[in-house]
Amino acid sequence: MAGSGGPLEGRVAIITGAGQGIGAAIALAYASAGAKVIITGRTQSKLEEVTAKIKAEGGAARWLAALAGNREQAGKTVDEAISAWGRVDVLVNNAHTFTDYLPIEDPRLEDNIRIDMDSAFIGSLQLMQCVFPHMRDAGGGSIINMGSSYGLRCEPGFLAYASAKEAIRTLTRTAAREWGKHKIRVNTLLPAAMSPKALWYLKESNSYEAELSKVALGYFGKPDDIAPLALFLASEASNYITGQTIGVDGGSTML
Amino acid sequence: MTHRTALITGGGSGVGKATSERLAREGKAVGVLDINRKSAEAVARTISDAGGKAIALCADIADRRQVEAAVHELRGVFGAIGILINNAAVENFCAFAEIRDENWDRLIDTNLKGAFIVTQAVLPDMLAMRWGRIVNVSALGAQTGAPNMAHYTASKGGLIALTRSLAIELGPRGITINSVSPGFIDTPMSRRAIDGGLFPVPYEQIIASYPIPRLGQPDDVACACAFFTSEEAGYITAQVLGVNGGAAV
Repeated sequence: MAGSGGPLEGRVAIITGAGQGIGAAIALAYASAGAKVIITGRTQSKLEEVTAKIKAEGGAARWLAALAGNREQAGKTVDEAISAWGRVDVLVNNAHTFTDYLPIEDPRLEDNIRIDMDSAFIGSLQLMQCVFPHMRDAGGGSIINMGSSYGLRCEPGFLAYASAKEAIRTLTRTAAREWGKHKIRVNTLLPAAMSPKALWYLKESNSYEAELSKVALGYFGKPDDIAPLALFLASEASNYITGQTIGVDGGSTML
Repeated sequence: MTHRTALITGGGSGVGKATSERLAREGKAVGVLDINRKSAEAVARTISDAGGKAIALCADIADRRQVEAAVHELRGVFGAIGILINNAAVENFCAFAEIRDENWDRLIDTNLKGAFIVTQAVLPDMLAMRWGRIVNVSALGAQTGAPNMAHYTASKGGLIALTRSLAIELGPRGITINSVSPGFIDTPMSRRAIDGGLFPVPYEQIIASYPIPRLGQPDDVACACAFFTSEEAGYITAQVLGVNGGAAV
């Protein structure tokens, strides 16, 4: 791991929600490609585990317990990257505290929407604002935000989650247009990887087969299936790509 | 590294040339197919001289017999074809009211039917391997519309629809199909339009409006083609990726 000459050699990346799943897979892929990574999340033990794994393979990683949507912690995360390694080249806004299924008529929905929005949308915005001056002054950077096919499909019961994800796509495209002149690229990735919680939900709602039938490739992905696209979007190979929404979901989204 | 044979149509210039060269640099054995034999040979020679594997193939992709002969030749030299870049295209800038039947047919036959013919020709190899990567090179104009290019954009829009349908049909067989949609790329085709004064406003004005205010380079598109055809991109299919400097869609 972390051999010289990788596509992210010399780069510094922040990945949120990286204690497990997709975030952890991206952190490992980035470190393997030569980046120094700062990972954040809620659970210290998980962050320590991912950090140890990266270090064991020769990579450079630091962790920080931080909750998406907390401005002070967003600032500390970026400060950590700057004080440790002097730069931030890549930001992956992956963290999202999401709420459970609720129909629109349920009075609790308003509170749920605030939770999803604070964590995913405001959390992404805060970190983007914090990394902006560093990326601008360094001559560019790449920001990868996580949307969801649920935002496009408008599945009943998922308004809180889906609307936060669509707000993120709007944030992405607006930032791509505002910050392109600073060579800061911003793209949205629509990932689909099976997590224990998603598996539980699909079985509980008897929708496993119905969901699988929407996946053109015919199988549910894993976090490791998502990381290659996040690596491509972070690398110089995608220098002319900004403002895009790209699904890595086995072909269940056709945008 | 797994041996992979790639076929790139329109490989003699512009995006096809850059993609042929990039895939070869990444270790693929490439068939550089072009209607212009000399340009295909020049690209194949450049690749070979740099230590890569390439052969030149000459065919009009609208002609099934020529395509099948070229595919047979490539398969014979480098083995079963697992990667296909449907890139070859022709243009004809013309006001809609003045498009002649023969020009409409020429663009649809090459840009859309050509992709259909070439894909059918290589498909048996991919099905046999249960592995395939197809990239259809569409165009920004197919997503946004563009004046004086109705037949061109219609043909490229057809490629996007083809991409999605094939992704569903062939996904369970281990084949991914994606589309790369280039914006304003510095190719011989774009230069002909610039030099001919065919844009409604100076081209500098167009690119100044993009978030990344420069002409795209053929290698920008080649990088996206290389990514979609990589081993690692196996869970990505049916996508349309704009390589357009952030041009609004």
